[in-house]
Amino acid sequence: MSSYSLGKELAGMAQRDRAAMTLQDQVAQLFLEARDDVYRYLLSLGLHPPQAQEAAQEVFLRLYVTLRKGEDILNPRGWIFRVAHNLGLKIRAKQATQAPFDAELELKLRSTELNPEQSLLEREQNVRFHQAVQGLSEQQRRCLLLRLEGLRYPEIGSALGISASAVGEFLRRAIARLKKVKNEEG
Amino acid sequence: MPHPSEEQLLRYSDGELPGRNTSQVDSHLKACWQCRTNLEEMEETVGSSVRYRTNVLQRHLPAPPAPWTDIYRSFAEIDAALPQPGFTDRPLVQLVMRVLAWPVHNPRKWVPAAVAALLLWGLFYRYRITPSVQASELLHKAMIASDIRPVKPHLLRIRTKASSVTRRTGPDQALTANLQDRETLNSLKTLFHNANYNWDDPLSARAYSAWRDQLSAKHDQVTEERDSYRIRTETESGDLLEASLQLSTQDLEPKEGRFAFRNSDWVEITAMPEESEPVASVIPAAPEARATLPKLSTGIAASLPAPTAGDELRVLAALHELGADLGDPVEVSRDDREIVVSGVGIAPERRQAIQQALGSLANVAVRFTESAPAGGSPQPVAPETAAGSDISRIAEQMGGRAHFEELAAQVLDRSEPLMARAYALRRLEEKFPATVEAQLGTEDLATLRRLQREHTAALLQQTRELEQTLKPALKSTLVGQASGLSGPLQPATEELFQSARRVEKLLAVVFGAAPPDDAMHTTQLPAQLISAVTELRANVEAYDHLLAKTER
Repeated sequence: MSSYSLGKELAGMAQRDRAAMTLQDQVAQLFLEARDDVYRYLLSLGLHPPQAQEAAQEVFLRLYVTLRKGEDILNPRGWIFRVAHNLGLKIRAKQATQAPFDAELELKLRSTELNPEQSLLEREQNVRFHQAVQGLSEQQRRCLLLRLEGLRYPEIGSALGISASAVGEFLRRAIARLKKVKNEEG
Repeated sequence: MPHPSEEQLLRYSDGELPGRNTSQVDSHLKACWQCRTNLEEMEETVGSSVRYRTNVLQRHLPAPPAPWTDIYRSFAEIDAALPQPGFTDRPLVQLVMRVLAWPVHNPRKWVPAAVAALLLWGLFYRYRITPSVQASELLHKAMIASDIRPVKPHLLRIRTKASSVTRRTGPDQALTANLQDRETLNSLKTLFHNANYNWDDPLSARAYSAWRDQLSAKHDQVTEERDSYRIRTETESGDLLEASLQLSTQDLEPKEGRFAFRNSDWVEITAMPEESEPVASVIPAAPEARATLPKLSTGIAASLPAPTAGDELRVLAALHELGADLGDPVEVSRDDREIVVSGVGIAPERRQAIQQALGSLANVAVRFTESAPAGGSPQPVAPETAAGSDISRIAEQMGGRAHFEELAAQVLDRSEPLMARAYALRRLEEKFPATVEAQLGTEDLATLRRLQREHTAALLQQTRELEQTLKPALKSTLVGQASGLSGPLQPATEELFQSARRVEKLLAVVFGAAPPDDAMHTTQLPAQLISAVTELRANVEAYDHLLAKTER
């Protein structure tokens, strides 16, 4: 065995090990960056915190498996939210009899203890905006939340199973309704 | 242009408008204070939403209840579960064992063996630590390999943000006389030339190496993929910020190159198989496709006949034949260059069917992006938020939970195709309002009416079935009193759509897939549902009538 071919072989293998490591690092990095966002999105679908956390982890592991199988994913963040959305709905469907999770945000927003630095007016504004978001239709709210997570229209459409132009329409209505609330505040 | 609609403004500020419309809105905004103010207000609301995410959701939603797991451990478990050779089967381990065993079997040669081992370690270290050496060595070998191969021009497929063309290598690059392709290739030539990258044979180790060698500062990375090496070079100098070249492991022949430029254009070049025919000039490109790279497309529009509403209608009719105008996330849009059919997350067989169906039509670009996620295509709306006690009560009224759940599955399944029809009708009306309709030829108009009537007939059938299923189940004795909508077609379509939406919403609430709106009185939900369905039926019947009248 010549040192040349051995060296080449070694180099190839070292690269292979490194490539595998890079994939793990990439997914781990994304996990670190996006896991809380995914977790909160799952809460918004009505999952209770322990389920939401478990499902969020599951999504990243699915991403890893998919990438390991050699599939090319153009936009991992879009992919993650789409898979999270579908997984979240599946979990909720299985527990249709259980009430969806309610974070009682309104109560928290009104609390002076939790918001010591805010004036009464600011707290009221937050409450009203929150109520307006809750008052949006389901699709409007989902489009808005996914857009807030940085997804583009086609990605949102793909997650929700609707067309990108429908996403545009839902977002328009969402923004119009929220604008009205803001304007009422003056 | 007239004032852009609110939706156009939002899409504009989100960068989701097709390129041509963007510039139209752009210049309109410069001229119109009113629209600019509207846009600003919209942006303010977007700002409030972002603050809502930070100040309300991030701050007040409960933190995850447990510490996050060590994801690397889970990766390791996945790796262990996926088919993979065992530790001692690994080639690296075997090789090391072989190397270590050698001096033992050859005791008199251990000194040279130790030297060889050191040398190997040195090589290993060098390869591992200094990718730039590795990159230049790999490129050098690839150049030698290409010199050995017989010289012949080959075909390259070039994809940019905006388009996709095919060319052959060498200075005389264009394959067709297509003006648009030539224009694209010329702009690319300038782009590469300005970045000091040889455009005659861009997908070659030689061109890559020449570009890389003239960079003052760079960072290399070499990875091995399944059957290829990928060299990636990043730099801050010049117009080309990042390039990567994929070389086949087998013969070091370049397979693919990717180039990212300072002006945020990107280009992807793929070697095409020798026997393949040159592809059509318009083939799948990226989703953000027409948003940028304006300099590649300006000045071309005038030379090609712009697609008409009739062309667009024929595309929709072709999609309709496949049922791809229902439910599939497929979009059709028309600008003055082409009709773009785009889709996200569509299964490969379906893509192929769509491509084939549209194959014979002129001026059509089909753009699909991203494969479907593992675990199937996205599910639209699945039951997810039960409205607790209301549901139990309705279930009781209907003779028990089991019966209720069976019925729920049945009607919720029905609401989806029903809504797909309502959406399809609305889309037709949006694309072909009376003003556009007037421009259609007799044949096209007949096609439009046929599509509308088919959707309407299906919608009517589905609504009747739904009504027949629901009435006995909800023990309703309500008699339909709705009078149905009346002309003209455009507001009627919207009314019909809203009426279908209301049915969908009530179905979801009554059968536990969504929480009730504040406006809904939960005690009368079943009655509201029945009357909404009855109204929808009357509306569809009236709509069908309206359509029939327009044909006369």
